[in-house]
Amino acid sequence: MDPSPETLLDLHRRMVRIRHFEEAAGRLAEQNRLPGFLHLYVGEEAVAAGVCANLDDDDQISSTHRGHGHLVAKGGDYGAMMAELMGNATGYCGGKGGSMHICDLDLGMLGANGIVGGGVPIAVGAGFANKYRGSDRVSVVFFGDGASNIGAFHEAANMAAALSLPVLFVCENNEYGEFTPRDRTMAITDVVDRAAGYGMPGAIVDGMDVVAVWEAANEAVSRARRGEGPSFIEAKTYRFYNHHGVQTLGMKYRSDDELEQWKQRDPIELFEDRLAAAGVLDADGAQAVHAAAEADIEAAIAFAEESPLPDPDSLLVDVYTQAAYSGATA
Amino acid sequence: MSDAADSAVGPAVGIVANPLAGKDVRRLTSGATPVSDAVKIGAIRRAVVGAIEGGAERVLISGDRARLGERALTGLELPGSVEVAEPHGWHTGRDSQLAAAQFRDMGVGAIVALGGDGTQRDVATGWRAAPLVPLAVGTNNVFPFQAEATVAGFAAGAVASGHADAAEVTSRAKIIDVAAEGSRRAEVALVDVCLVRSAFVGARAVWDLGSVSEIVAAIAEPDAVGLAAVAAAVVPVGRREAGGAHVRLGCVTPNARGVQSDRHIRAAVMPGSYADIDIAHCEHLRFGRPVTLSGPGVLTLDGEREIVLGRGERAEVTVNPDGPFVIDVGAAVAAAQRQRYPFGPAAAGR
Repeated sequence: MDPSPETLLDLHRRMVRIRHFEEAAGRLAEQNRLPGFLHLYVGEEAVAAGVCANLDDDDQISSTHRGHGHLVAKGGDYGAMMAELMGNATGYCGGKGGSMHICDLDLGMLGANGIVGGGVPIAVGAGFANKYRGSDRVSVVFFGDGASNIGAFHEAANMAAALSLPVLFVCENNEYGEFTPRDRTMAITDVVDRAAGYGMPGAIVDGMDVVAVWEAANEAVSRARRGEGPSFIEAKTYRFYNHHGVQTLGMKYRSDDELEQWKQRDPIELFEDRLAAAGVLDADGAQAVHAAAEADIEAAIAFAEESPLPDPDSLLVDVYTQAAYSGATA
Repeated sequence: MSDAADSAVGPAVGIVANPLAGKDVRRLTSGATPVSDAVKIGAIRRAVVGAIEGGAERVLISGDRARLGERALTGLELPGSVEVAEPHGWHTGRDSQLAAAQFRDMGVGAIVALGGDGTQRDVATGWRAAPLVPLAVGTNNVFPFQAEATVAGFAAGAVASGHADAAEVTSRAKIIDVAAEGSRRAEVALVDVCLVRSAFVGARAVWDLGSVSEIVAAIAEPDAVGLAAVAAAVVPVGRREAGGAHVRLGCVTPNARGVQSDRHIRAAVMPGSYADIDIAHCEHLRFGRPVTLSGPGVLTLDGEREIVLGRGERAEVTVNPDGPFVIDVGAAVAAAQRQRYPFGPAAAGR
C-alpha cells in the first residue's frame, strides 16, 4: 500500500510544482500580464499528483478548463506552459490555445478543454485505441462534479464500461460547478454513485491526501493494465480560489468559513507534516523543493516574456487541417 | 434542530446513517459491493416507519452533507415526531460519533446504525453503552447483521418505549479500548485492532496483507472475512464468549499456496481473496489484559487505518466486556408483540 520513499518525494515535488506554477500565474493575471481567463488548481494538487505519479509518459490524460495542474503533474514544461498562457509563439500550442487548450502529445496530455465534460470522450477514445492496438497504455480523464451532469460523460462512461476499456475516470468533486453548489444541480451527493450504473467499480478518496489518491489510482491503473476495464475515483477536494481569477474571500456562492475549513487541510502542508513525521523529508528538505520550483518558475516567466507573439502569417495555420488550407481535397 | 428537541420527551429512537459507508477504495481492491445513497435513504425511511410502529414517539436522524435524512422523509407522514439533526460538518466518521453522543445526551432510548464495522465503531465511540441495532449497510460487516430496516426500526422503537424489556432482548457486546501514547484521544474498536507496517492513513483500508504484523480481536469467528478470520483460524473467540485473541503474524503470501510449516494457516483475508499465513504467536486474551503494540506503524480500528505510531511510540490495546447493548431484533419484535397482542402467540398455543 505505502508508496516507496522515492515515490513520496516525487508526489511532494509534483504538488509543489503545481502550486508554484498556479500562484505565479495568479500574480501575473493580477498584474494584467496574462490574457484570457485563468482557472487555478490551487487546493486540488493532490489529485493530479497522486494520479499522474502512477502513469508513464505514454499513458494519456485528458483534462479540463482547470488544467494546468494536470499538465504539470504529467511532467509538463514550465516555460512552454507559461508562454502558452501568455499567448506567445514558444508556447505549447504556438500561443494560440492559451490556458484552456494547453496540450503536449509527447507527454500523453491530450489537452485541457474549454467545454465542460468535453475531455471525457477524448480519453475514452484513446482508451479504445489503446485496447484495439493491444498496448498496455492507460488513459485517464480528469473532470469535475459538474461535468458528470453532461451527456458526453454518460455516453463515454457507458462505452468505456461496455467495451471494458483501460480508462480511469477521476472526478475532482470540489462541490461547485462554476458558481453553483453541487446540491443545486444533482440529486446525489457522491458522483461515484453513478459508476455502478455503468457497471464499473468506483471509490471515494480524500482528495486532500495525496497518499490516499495515489493508493486508489495505483489500484485502478493496475486494474486497467491487467485488462479488467475502467475504474472510477471520486476525489473530494476544494479549490482555494474563485472559479476563475484570484479572488478567495467574499464570494456569494460559498462562505469564507467553508474556505478556511478546507484550507486547514491544505494538501501540501498536510503531506509535509506526514513526510516529516515519517522521517522522509524534513522542513529544510521541503523548503529546498519549494525554492527549486520558485527558481524554475521565475526562469519560465522570463523565457515566456522574452518570447515573440505568433507571426501574423500563421493566423490560419492550425485553424483548418493543413490539407484543406492548401486547397487539396480528400 | 429546534430547541424543543434538545431534550427528548417520550420514547425516542436515533438513526445514525453514515453517508460515506460502502464507498471506499475496497470497491477497487477487492470488488466490494458499492452502497449508494439511494440504498441508505430507503433504509432510513423504512427504519423510521418501523421505529414509530414499535412505540417511539420521536425519531431523530443524524444530519449530514448528503441530506440522507431529509431525503428519506420526503412525503412521509407519520403520527410521531421525526427530525433531522443539524450536521456536525466534519464530513467524516466523526459526524456519526458526535450524533451518537448527542442522541445519548438527549435521552434517546435506542439507536439504529446503518453502516459497516466502521460506522458501528463510530457510534460506540460517541456512546459506548448505546442500545443498538447495528444494520449491515457497509463494506465489512462482522459486527452488524442483516435485517430488514423496517423491523430493525421496530425493535429499536420497542426497546426505547419499553414494549420490549431491554434486559431481555439485548446482549452486551465486547469492545476494544485503544490508548495510544501522546495527546491523542482514546479510541475504541468493536471487532479488531491491528498493527500495520505503514506510515500513512492513506486510503484507510488494508489490502496488503504482508504489511499486517499483529492482530488483537474481540470477535474472531470462523465465518468471518478479514483479519478477524486469521485470528479465528488459530484462536477462535465468539462474539458472546469472554476475552479476545492476540496473534502475531509471520510470513504472509496472498493468493499463493505452498507455505508449509507447523504454524501455517490459510484464511479469507478479504472478500474474494485468500492468503497463506505463518503464525508467529497466538494466545487467548482475558478481559482487561492489555497488549502493547509498538510503532513505527499504523493502527487499524475495525479494518481502517486510523492512528499513526511513530518509531518507539506505543499503544495499549485491551479487550473489555462493556460495549454497546446489541438489540436482538427477533426477540425485541416478539416481546413487543406479546405485550401488545397477548392473544396472538398465546392463541396459537391453545
